[in-house]
Amino acid sequence: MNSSPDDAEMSAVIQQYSGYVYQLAWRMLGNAQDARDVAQDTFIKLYQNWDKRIESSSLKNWICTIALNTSRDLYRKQKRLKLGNEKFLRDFDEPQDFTEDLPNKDLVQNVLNQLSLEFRMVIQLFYFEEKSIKEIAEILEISEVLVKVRLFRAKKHATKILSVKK
Amino acid sequence: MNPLNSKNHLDFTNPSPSSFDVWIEGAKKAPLPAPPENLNHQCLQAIHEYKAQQHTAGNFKTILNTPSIEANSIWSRFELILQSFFPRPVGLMLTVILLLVGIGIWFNGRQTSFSKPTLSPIQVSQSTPSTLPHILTKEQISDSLSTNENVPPQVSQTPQFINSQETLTHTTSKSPEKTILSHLSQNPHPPTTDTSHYTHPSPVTKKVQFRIHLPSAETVHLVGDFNQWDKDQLQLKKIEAGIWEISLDLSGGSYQYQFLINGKIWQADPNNTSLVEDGFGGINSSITL
Repeated sequence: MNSSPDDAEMSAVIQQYSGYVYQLAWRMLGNAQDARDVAQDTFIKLYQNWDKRIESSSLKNWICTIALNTSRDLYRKQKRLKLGNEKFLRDFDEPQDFTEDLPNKDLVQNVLNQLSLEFRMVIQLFYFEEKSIKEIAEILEISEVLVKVRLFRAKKHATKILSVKK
Repeated sequence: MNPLNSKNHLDFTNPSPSSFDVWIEGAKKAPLPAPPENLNHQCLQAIHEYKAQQHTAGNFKTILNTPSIEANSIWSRFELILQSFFPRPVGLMLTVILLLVGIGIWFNGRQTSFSKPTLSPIQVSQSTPSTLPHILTKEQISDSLSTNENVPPQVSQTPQFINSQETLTHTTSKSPEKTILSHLSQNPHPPTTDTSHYTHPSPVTKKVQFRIHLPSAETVHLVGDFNQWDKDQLQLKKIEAGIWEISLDLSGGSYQYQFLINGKIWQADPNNTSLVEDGFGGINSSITL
């Protein structure tokens, strides 16, 4: 286990997982710019903490953990900013790269954006990536019971949102 | 949406899909946004920037940790020896202090004109009053002046002249003046401290020219130690318009003098920068041969 990976190793990892990290972050945060920032930060953190990687667990799950934590940090930062001057920021949030953001926006992202970030995470991992409860508990670094509780609440919350829509 | 079957029991075998299940099935099929083409490049770029930052930070750390001086010259060896005894700031300070002391010693050793102390005679006599029991008071001087034949009575009333005469009593102890200095010649222990530093008797005589620029003067006299402050003895000649001159043969030593203009006005030499206070408010010019 090297303390830091060489360039070829790192570029191979980026080649393989950048799309996955981008889409994951896109699901979590719901816009292209944040997803790109999260992807960059994720791979920098991966490079920094390469020696802390546990060989037994899969690299993808570890990258997933880093990406989710990074997007959570960014989400909290934005939330803190938006609480300060929400009206001011709304005008700046509007102009976006719609070509990247438009597909399935109504169907998936509208519902997901109304859920809290914790629920978004479990729904993403359980339904979209079809990971087991144990895997999710490893990735999110929480207990399996808490994963189940969050899944149940997320489902309940999403159902409420969908019924309101209809 | 109804969980109850026809028998009014909860149906577990074939549950009807909830709105969430419908939504999640649709969402799974929905295509995800494709990542931008330059995403890989951007990620690599970010990592390279991070590496560059770490590199500079690491360089800074190594600079801080390594000793700045290597023992490759005599000077740095000296510094290292100092550092082994003292921490770095103290060693530097000691070096600077040693340098300053060295410069001071070198400078003091040089024979510069300003390094010589110029002491006026009255200062010496004041500093050693116990060894000079013969010093005359002002009243004694004025008494002796009134009886002096060489000094005209009207001159003794002018303060400048009294000052000059009083200086004379302190300065020229070896002069053959009869009246005033008889005190000194009779002294069995003549003081050496007040005369040794400004009179260096030597057999060689030098020719000294005194010049002064006085266009409006009628007569100019030179009065000083060399003529025992006799104001009529040495008269300057007018060589050009306004320039008065006299030449004297003087033996080695230190002399004080003034110019007497028109028999009234006392004037120190304006071209001579070495001036000595006579101790009574006036200023004499001083010359050392």
